[in-house]
Amino acid sequence: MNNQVREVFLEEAKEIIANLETDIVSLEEGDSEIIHNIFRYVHTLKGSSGIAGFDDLSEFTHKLESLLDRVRAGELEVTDTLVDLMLNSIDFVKLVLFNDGGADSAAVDHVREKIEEVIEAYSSGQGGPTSYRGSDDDEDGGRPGTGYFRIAADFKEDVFKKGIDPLLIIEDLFKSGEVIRRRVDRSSVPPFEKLDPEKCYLKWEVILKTTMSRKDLDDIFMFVMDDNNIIIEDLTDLYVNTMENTGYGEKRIGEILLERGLITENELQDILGEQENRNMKIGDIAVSKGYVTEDDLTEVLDVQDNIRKKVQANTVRVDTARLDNLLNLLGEIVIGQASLHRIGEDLDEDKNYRLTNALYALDRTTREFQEQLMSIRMIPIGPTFDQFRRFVRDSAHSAGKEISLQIQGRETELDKTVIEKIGDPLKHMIRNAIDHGIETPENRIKAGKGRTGSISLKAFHQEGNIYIEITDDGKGISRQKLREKAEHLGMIKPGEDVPDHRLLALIFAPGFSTVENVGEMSGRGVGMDVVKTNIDELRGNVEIESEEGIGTTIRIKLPLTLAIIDGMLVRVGQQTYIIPLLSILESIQPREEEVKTVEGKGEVIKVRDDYVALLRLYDFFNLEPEFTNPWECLVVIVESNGEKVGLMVDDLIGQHQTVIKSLDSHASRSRSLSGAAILGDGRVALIVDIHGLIGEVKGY
Amino acid sequence: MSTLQIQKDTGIKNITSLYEDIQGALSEGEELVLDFADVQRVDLSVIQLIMSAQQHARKMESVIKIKNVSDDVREQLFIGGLIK
Repeated sequence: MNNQVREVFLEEAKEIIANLETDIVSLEEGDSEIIHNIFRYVHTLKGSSGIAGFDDLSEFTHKLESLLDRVRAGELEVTDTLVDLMLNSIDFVKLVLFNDGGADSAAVDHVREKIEEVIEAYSSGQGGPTSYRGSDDDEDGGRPGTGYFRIAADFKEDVFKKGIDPLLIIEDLFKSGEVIRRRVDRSSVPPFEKLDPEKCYLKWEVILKTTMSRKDLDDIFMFVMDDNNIIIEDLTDLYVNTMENTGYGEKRIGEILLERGLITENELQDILGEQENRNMKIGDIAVSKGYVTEDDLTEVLDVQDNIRKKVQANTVRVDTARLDNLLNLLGEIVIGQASLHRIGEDLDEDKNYRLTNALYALDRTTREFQEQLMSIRMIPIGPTFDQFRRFVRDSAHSAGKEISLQIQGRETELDKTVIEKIGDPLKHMIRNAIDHGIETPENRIKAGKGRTGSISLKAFHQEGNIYIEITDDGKGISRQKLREKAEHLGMIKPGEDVPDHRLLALIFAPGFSTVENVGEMSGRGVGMDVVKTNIDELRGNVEIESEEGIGTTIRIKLPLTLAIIDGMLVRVGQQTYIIPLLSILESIQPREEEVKTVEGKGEVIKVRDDYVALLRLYDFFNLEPEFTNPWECLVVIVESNGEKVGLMVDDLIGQHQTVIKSLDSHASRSRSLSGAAILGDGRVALIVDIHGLIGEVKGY
Repeated sequence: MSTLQIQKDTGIKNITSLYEDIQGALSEGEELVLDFADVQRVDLSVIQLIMSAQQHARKMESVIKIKNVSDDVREQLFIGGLIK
């Protein structure tokens, strides 16, 4: 089998598996409708695995699919055992496809046998598996000549007087194809005592699937078309070629029902009003109110699913390295533009004016180009959050705890690189919250809380940054234990007055853990420092808030993208550096008396009531400075991991947004530099990695 | 319970007569049965009259039933929206 086909399948399978895990957990939480999604995913997995040459997997998923078909038919109840079976089956699929654990084939076969035994038990206990029934098979929906039409017939009241019986016309219509939907509007029929029986009050709306042409349908209404309100609308595109001509994105069920004429605008409003009062899905409300049938709803759900698939089919996968190349090329264009601006200054006034105008127009286009390019790299964090639903479920079960996971801000978009790298740190923090934050149900009740603990993941944009918050309503962090441990490790002196935020930040120090019990992953004193390092690598920072007995919030602040940096250009001697704005607290020019040397701490400057270590950047980078006295130059106060440092620079040039270029292997060995940027005049500015710089200076 | 035999040729031409018959029957507050045994075809005026009458009967906590409906008429009643 073609390797490329396999690679495409494996990529697709990753997405399907992630969605399946999320949906199965939702099924367990009571979302019974989601069984249709689960069925379709497994169906797709079955088909694709066969095409990609994973025949055994195709056979296995066929059995699973048969089981799921019975679940969605209501023959099997969703129980914990069944959910476990589904999740175990997905684990098996992962084992076959990715085998990260390196299990041998005998072990894989064993797992498969165990799962198939359970599937078989379900089958034999319930009358054997039903045969496969595809969800999206439309036998002749796409057959040339088959069309879908909406016919609305509103006859005039005096139509009887003209010798016309509308019922005959509607009967002809019914004979001309398959009536998918018939709605008779009685709303204009007056109360019996006011009824004039010789007038016509009824109206029809019919959705017809037919091989007849539009003209044939017009002919049915030939004698009433002119005097009555007859509307014939071709819905074939909507029903058959949903995406091809309309460019729809994701569609809500209500929209599709409305567009297909299955419900009216008023009915939709009624349903939406009802939905505010009842925690039900729109489709279910429409059925319960008798606006549509179960069959209508199933069909529309299939249509919605097909739209989703079409959206997916209209996308292409592009290696992010190609986007990076494009961005780099764009960076070169920006540099070229800056050079042209400079050349323009040497021209005479008229030529300079014309060149500058042309360049401004080009600048605008380039900026837009850059924004578009950046937007391609941005993807929503929702799927990353969703993958933790199963993780929380499984971890909570194994820890004997009851935990619900709330997710907010799924639509928040982050750079793809950030998304790829944020998963592990998030997982570790969630694991910590499960193992050490949330109490057991018994302890929660003793503490006056509900049995079920809560972990929430929230993402949002604010002031040009992305924030991710992990909040739990557990027992919070004990300051006493934190202090005892920090004193024991020599991180603070006994009785030393340490601000609360600095005390909490110690959690991110290497080797720090206050936990007595070691969990599978957390509690070993490794992890949170790695979390911190990972976030620093993403040029973000992390802070923690915790209240004993109430809970803990960890807040991660990240740049919108890793490809571009918002930085402060500073000059040290003849060299220009970029300090990430995210790390800068303030810039000051200290007075001479505010600069002191403290034994054991070196040079410090007094910033209000605090003393901050002073770092002479020219010394650190071995440069010839313009100034050597701190009170003659500027000090940029930066912070990382709760640690503040004042960086001595000769000048602040200004804020600058630039495309980051990676350093070669020699330069990148320094932890204090994270990259470089080419400035408009062609010079190179090095980007300072504040976390690495402080680490190098402090020796950790 | 009273029964009203629907005439073979009932339609728009004599719908007012049927309207009055139904009105009279309902005014007695009894359950009304419409017997379609002689009917092979109805038109829309009959269907909407029965619809309106049924609604009126429900208000009066009475009921109108139909019986002896042929398959053809049943189909017509369905297309007309009287039965589901």
